[in-house]
Amino acid sequence: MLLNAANFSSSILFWRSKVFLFLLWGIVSLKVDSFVLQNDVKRSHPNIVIELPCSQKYLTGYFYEKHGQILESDFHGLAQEVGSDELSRSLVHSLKDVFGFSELNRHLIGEGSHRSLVTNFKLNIKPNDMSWLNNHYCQVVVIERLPIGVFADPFELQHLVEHQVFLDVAVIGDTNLELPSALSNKSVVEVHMNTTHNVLSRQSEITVELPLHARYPPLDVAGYSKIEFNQPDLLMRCKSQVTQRDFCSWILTGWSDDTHKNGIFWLVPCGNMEHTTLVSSITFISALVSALLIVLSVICRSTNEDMKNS
Amino acid sequence: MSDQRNAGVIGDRGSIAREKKIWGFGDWFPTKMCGSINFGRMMVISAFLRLGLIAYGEWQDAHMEVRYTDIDYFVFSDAAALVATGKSPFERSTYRYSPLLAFLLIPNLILHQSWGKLLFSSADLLVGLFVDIILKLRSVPETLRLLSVAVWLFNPFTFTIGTRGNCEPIVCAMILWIIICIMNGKVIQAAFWYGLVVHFRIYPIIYALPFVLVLNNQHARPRECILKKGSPRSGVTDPSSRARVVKPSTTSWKQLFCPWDLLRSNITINSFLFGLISGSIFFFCTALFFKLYGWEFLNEGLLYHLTRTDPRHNFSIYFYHIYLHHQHKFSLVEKLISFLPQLMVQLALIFRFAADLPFCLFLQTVAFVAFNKVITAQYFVWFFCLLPLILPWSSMKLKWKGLICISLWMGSQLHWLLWGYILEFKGQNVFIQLWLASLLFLAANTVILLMVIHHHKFSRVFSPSLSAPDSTDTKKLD
Repeated sequence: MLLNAANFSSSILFWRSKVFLFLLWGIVSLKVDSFVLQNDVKRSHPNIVIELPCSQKYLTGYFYEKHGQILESDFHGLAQEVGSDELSRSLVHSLKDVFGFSELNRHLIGEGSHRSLVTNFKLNIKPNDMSWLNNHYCQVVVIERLPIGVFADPFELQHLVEHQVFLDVAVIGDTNLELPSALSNKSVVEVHMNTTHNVLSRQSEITVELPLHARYPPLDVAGYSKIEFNQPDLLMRCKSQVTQRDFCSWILTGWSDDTHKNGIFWLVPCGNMEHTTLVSSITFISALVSALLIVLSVICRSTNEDMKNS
Repeated sequence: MSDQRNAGVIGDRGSIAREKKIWGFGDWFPTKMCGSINFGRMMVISAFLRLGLIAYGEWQDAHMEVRYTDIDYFVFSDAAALVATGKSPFERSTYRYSPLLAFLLIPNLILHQSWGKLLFSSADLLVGLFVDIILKLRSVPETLRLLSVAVWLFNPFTFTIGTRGNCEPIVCAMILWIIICIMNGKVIQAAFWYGLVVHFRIYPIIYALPFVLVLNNQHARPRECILKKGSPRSGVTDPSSRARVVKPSTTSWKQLFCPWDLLRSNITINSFLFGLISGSIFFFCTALFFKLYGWEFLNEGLLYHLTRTDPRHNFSIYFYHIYLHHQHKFSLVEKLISFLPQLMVQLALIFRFAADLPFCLFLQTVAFVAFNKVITAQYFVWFFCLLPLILPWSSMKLKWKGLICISLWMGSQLHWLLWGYILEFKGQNVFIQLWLASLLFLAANTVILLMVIHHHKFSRVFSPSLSAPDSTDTKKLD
């Protein structure tokens, strides 16, 4: 089944300028420009479905455990790696084009070193397949690949899960809160959200607000360091409520398009290396002067007491 | 005892006026205190205040976006949860304390999640009690004592730090208990707690030398110590005793310039025992936890504090220097240069003031924090707990020198916080301004140190006994 999906996707992707590989784990990528699911004619975003045991809660975690590195856009590769069986292949076929995402909007809110990345999109569900939806329980999964200059606090995100803002969250990679960018590595955040599944609307709007924090950037003469964000990957993770199979389907219906950067920038103030000599010398001189003042006052006081008592 | 205390005062009319002028702390409030305030009532009020704050903290955590509880408290609780299941507390990232703390907080899981806060607040109240005990031992009159204790118990910084779940009150309580033990001549007990507190938090290592000097200079065996009644109503103002007071300055300076004398005179049985026992306790704890948790314990719990260079902004003057250099290593020369002012000040303070132990410890702590590579707000508690111990001997009046000191310290802090807010929450590049603000904070700390030193009436904790070989004093100042 996976092979079919791969062939299908490769034939489509062949005449596309950019090829992005989808992660079968149900990370659905959303295109920047509006995407209308009902338009069957020029389907340029084939669905890929990956079946993994439901015990695997996080796709990024699964990839990290297997490869020891952060999941990049090679979903296709992962799909092939996971493999498929007859049942999976037929499932993929049936799940083709069930879901779609459109109208992706992203922006940063807040000021300073602590901001939130807000991702807005619409989840479109193809009407023919409403019955399928009734038999499955689905969640939206957003995978955010964070640039080095920012980090997400796992404990803060856990707090949000406890307050039921998100269904589940995982942060994979460098989660060190304290080190500056120059000594840090990339990280990826996987957020699971509930859809308004019970309402069974054809289109539901999903908003993901991810609190992020800036690391201390490398030094720059300009005084500010620019951090750019990539597109997220969007998927659906569905579990069948009818069959006994303990497998969850991760459905990818689009791909992340790096060329369509919607230009989210975050300017973080950084130190200026031209200040180095001045700052270091004045710092040490001040410390020395203060220390000498204190030592002198101690000596003077002793001398005074000597004179008083003699 | 009170008769003796007042004897010197009643007989010498001239000295009463002089005494009033010399010490100013008592002038801060009217001497006729309402009879209803006594120590017990103050403790009860403080206890209720803290309980109320803990309860409020729980409510705020549950209902508001911004939490009352300190983030460190959650770190401790998580570590306690790990320890309860037999794992290492260092699996919790940013847990950089002794595993003892995690063990202490295990009831967080069994009883209630606020157990830790209750523990820390009780330690807080204990500090108040110990301050009272120490001042009683030094024969401070009741009014002054109550005021000094109130400076700790009702200091907003103090009661929030315990109720927010910060573990510093425990360290403060241990340090004050060590002072009490030394004053009572219980060297072994003092040594035990000292080893434990250094294991818990590294910074009390700076007190090693003053403790050793004090234990040595008393020249007496335990339980034979003569506590100097260094109360403000006696001592230097009593003309009959003035000539017989040992000049502490000359003794100390002789010791400073004759290192062999220093070493020779310092190795007495008390200081040897103190060093041996506290060292053994420290190494025992280190070895035990190393055995249990391996290199993680050493790296996170011990070495991190010694080699900590945090480039993120904090009150220290070194933060911008560290940030500008964080992409390459520091040379040995640079490390030594930054250590030199700290060392100079510590040694000068120790050798001059060690005999007046609480004063010495207070000055050392203020200087240590001010010259440190990293300064966070919780470090201020380290000297707040020692402040009440020196206030009765300070001739600084609230108007205007006391107020100047307070406003200088708080003002420079607020100034720094303003720039820090602009940097962190408004995202503007104000590194230079923030760095200058930290320089100003160091200047404020220096000025305050100088003023406190200038206005302090030096009074030794122990007076040298008859058996002292080089002492000229033969009077027991009772």
